[in-house]
Amino acid sequence: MHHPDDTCVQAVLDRYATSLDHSRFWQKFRRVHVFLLVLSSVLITAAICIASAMRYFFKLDFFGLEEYVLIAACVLYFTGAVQGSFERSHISADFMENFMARRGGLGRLLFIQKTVELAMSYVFVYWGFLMIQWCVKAWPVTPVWRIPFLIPESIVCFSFILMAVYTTAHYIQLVNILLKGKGGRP
Amino acid sequence: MIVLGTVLILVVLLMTGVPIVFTFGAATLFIALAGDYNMATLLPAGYNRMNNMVLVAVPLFIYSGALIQKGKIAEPLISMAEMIFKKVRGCMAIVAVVASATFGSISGSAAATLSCMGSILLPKMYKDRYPRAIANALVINASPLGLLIPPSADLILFAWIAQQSVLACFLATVIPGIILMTLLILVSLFMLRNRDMARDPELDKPLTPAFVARRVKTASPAMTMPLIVLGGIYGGFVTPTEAAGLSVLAAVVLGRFVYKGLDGSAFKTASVESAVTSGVFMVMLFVVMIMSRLFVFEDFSQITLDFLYSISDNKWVVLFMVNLLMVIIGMLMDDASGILISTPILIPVVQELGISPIHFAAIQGVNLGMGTITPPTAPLLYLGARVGRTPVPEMLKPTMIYILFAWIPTLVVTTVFPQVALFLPMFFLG
Repeated sequence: MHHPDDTCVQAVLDRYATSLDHSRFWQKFRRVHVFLLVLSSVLITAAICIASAMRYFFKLDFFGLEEYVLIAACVLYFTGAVQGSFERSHISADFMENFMARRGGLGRLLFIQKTVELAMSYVFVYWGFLMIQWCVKAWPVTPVWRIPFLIPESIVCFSFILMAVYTTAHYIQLVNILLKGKGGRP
Repeated sequence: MIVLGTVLILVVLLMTGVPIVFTFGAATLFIALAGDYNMATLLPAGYNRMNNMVLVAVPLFIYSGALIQKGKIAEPLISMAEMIFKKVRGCMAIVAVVASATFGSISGSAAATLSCMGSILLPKMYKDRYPRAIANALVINASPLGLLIPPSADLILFAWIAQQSVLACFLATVIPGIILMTLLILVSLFMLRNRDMARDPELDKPLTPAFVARRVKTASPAMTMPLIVLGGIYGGFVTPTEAAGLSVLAAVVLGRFVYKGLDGSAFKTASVESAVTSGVFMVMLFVVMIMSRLFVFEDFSQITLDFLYSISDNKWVVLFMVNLLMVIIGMLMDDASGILISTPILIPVVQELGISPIHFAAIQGVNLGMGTITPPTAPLLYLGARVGRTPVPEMLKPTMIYILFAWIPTLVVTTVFPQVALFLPMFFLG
C-alpha cells in the first residue's frame, strides 16, 4: 500500500470527515435519523412532563406509560449511536492521532483503527442477530402492556446494521484515499 | 490469562484511537471467546439492565444542556453574577467557575460545558484584559465541575452501574464540588492579584436600583431552572427523570419565548446534537453492561485487588494506586466513558478496602475530572486550546498550578476524610 505523506493524509481527512454529508444519497439517511431523533426526544419529554403534571395536579397515574417511553428511548439511544457512526463522532482517545500527525505514520494508524472498527461493527451485527434469535425463542414481553421485547431489540439490531453500513462506507473511502495518496479524491 | 489479554486489548485499542465503544466491544468479545460464554443470553441481559426509566434522565439532562446553550439562557445569569461579584478584582474568575459548575451539572458533559462556557466567557475575559493563558486554563479547569455538582448525568451513570441511590451519589459530591470551586476561585484570584483587568463599563458606575432591578429581572426566568430541578428532586416532588424532563420543557419555553435564542433550526440542532451525545454514551453503556457481567464471572475485581495487594498491603497505598489508575483513565477518555470503564472494576475493589461506594462516587468524580485536564494527553486541555485559541504550551503553567493547588488538595481531602463525601447523604437520607 502506498503511504502518502501525513500532511497530505490530514488534508484529505478533513474532506473525508464530511464526505458523506456532501452526497445526496447519504443525506436521505441523515434526514431519517434527524426525524427520528427529534421525534423521540420530543415524545419522551412530553410523556414524562405530562405524566408528572397529571400525577402532581390530578393524582392520576399513567400506569405502564414507561413501557412506551422506554421504546422511544431505545429509538433515541440507538439512532443517536447510528448518527454518531454516520458523522464519525463516536468517542475515542485521539491523542495518538495528534502525535502521529506531527511525527508521521498517521495513515498507517488510521488504517489499523478503521480496520478494527470495521471488524467490530460486524461483530455487533452478529450480536444483534443473536439477540433477535433469543427473543424469538423466549418471547419476553413487558409486564403491563405485553409489548414484545422483539420490538426494541429489533431496533438495536437494525441500528447495528446501519452502523456497520456507515463504518464500511467510511472505510472504503479511507482505503481509497490511502491508496491514491496525494491524488485521492474522497 | 484472560484478565491480562483483556487489559492488553483495552490499552492497545484505546491508545490506537479505536472508538471506545468498539474497544469495549473487542474486550467483551475476547472474554466471551476465551471463557466460552454464551453471548445469546448475555446480550438481552445487557439490554434489560439499560432499559430503565432512571437512565432516561441522562439523555434528558444532556438535551436540556444543549437547549440552554442554543437558547442563550446562560448569558443573563453570567451578567447577573458579574454584577454580584463586581467589587472583587478578577470577578470574572468567580463567574467562570460558578457558571461552569451550573451548566456542567445540567449538560452532563465536560466537553459541552467547555465549548459553551468557553465561547461565552473567554471573548469577554480577553476583552477585559484577563491574561489569556490564565483565563483559558481556568475555563478548562472549571469545565469538569459538572461531575461533582448535582444533578449530574455522570453521577446517574455511576449510581446505575454501582447500583447505588442516585440521590445519595448527588449529595456525596456536593462538598467536594464546593471545595474544588472555592480553591479554583482562590487560586485564580491569587494569580490575578497584580493584573489590571477592565470591567463592564456599566459596572464601573455606582449601581442604581433601576440597573440592579433590570439585570435581576432579565436573569430571573433563567434562575427558575435550577429551582425546578434541584427543588423538585430534593423537595421530593419529582424523580430525577421527571426533573430532567421538566428542565427540558423549561429550557424550550425560556429559550423560545423569553430569551428568544431558540428558533426552529436551533431546536433541531440541539435535539440532534444532544441525541448523538446520548446515543454514543448509551451504546457504550449497553456494551459495558455485558462486559461488567463478564468481569464478575471472571472475578476481575479480586484479581485487580490481589495485584494491588502484591505491591503493598497498606490500604492508603492501594487507594493511592486506585486514584492513580483513575487519573490515567481520565487522561485517556472523556468523563462519562471513564465512569463506564472504571466503575464495574473498581467498585468491588474499594468495597474490599472498606470504602463506601457513595464515598467512592466523590473520589471518582474528582479523579476523572483531574485526569481530563492533566497533561500530556488531557483531552479537555486540547479542546480548550481550540475553543479559546490559546496554544497549549502557554496554558501548561497555570494548568499545573490549578492541578497542584486546587485539584490535588480536593482529591486528598475527599479521599482521606470520608465525612466530606458522606456527611450530606447521611444527614438527608440517613
